[in-house]
Amino acid sequence: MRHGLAGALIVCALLWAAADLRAHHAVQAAFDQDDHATLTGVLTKVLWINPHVRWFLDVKDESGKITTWTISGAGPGGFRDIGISGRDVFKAGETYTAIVARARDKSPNGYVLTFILPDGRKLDLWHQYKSEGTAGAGAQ
Amino acid sequence: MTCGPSRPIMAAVAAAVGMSLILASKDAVAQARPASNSPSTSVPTPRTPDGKPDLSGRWGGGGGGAGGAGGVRAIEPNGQVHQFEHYSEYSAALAAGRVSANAKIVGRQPNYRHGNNLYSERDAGFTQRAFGNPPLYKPEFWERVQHLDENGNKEDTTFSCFPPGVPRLGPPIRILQTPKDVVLMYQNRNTWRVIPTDGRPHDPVNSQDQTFMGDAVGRWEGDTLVIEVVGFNDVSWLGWPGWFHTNNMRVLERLRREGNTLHYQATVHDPDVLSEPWEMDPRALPLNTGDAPYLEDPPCLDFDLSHMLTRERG
Repeated sequence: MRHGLAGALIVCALLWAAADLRAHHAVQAAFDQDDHATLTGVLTKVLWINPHVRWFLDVKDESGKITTWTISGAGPGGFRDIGISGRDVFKAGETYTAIVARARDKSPNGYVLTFILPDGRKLDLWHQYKSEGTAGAGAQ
Repeated sequence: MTCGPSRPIMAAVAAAVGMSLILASKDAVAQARPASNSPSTSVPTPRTPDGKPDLSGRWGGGGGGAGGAGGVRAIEPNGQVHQFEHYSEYSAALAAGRVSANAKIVGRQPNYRHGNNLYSERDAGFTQRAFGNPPLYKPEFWERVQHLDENGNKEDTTFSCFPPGVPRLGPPIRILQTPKDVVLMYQNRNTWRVIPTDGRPHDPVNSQDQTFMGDAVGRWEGDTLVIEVVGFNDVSWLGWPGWFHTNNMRVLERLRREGNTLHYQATVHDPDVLSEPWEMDPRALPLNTGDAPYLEDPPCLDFDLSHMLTRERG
């Protein structure tokens, strides 16, 4: 029993310590997951950096004016672990659509929920789903 | 060491929370997972020619690449789910026609709990505040800790991409040992530390500096490597919930190898603000005999701080 409890506490210690370095996120402080924007534009640059990967999308409005949106996602380690790299999936110069949670200050910044790749495939990067296979906000 | 009657209850609650977390935390799984060829402490502790325990090796799950991260799924319009370990496997299946181009690719972080990014973030914050083994501050500093916690987005300098510093950095993922020093290597920001073990005292200049890593010297106490670190700044924190320290902090880190397990523990002495030394939660890391390449931890650049309109974090 003592060993079991000690083991559980060691597990907790591992988790807490691991969590401390991981939990540097305040996504909700900057982005509103209930306020979405759908952006279509030319991908000009991808920054594979911490704490969040950044995509830069040149979006043209009806008047022809171009606004560069900065789009955030998870950390690069998470993408790397599942084999999604900058050049495999995200190619500068091609047109992408990003469905994002908009910045609370209404600046041209967003946190990506879903990308639609140049060939039309959907890449979903955000939770908030009732069940697998049933798309929730931002994914349809 | 008496902890009061509530300790068993807290331990039981902590254990329950911990067990639920283990299902969700990739890093924790990687740390807790026995690495290949590293059964237990029944293995004799290897020693260097001078008789010291050999701490050399790769420890825990960090530093490598793919695996254990939940992989990539492709969900067909009819609901059929294809599971892949790696995006390249999905691409091959797509090229071979085993997956349709209409299938939605899912590459979410598997360690987000409750299937909701917002809930996961809030839950992480709650967990760290409620079960985080807080240092015991002198009463006159309680309000400051609370203020720092409540305003952590601005006050916690790791949000601005400053290094976590010692001891928040935690244990190393790799150790190189020579007769005169021990090199500790970390995945976080590709950091390394060289700890002299030749009996020298603290450097008279560096120990008066104010740095994130401090000035460290090591000594062997039996089979335990004890590292004394001084010369810190007061910019880094001990932990996420506002746990600040002063530049008079002294940290004792202890590294001990038992068979194929590395034990890491740190004690923080900061009598200017702490009522008693703070014992950081101990870590136990299995020997990792894998040979996955070490990957760069990309630099940290903050874009978000100026856009944060609420104080929420997790």
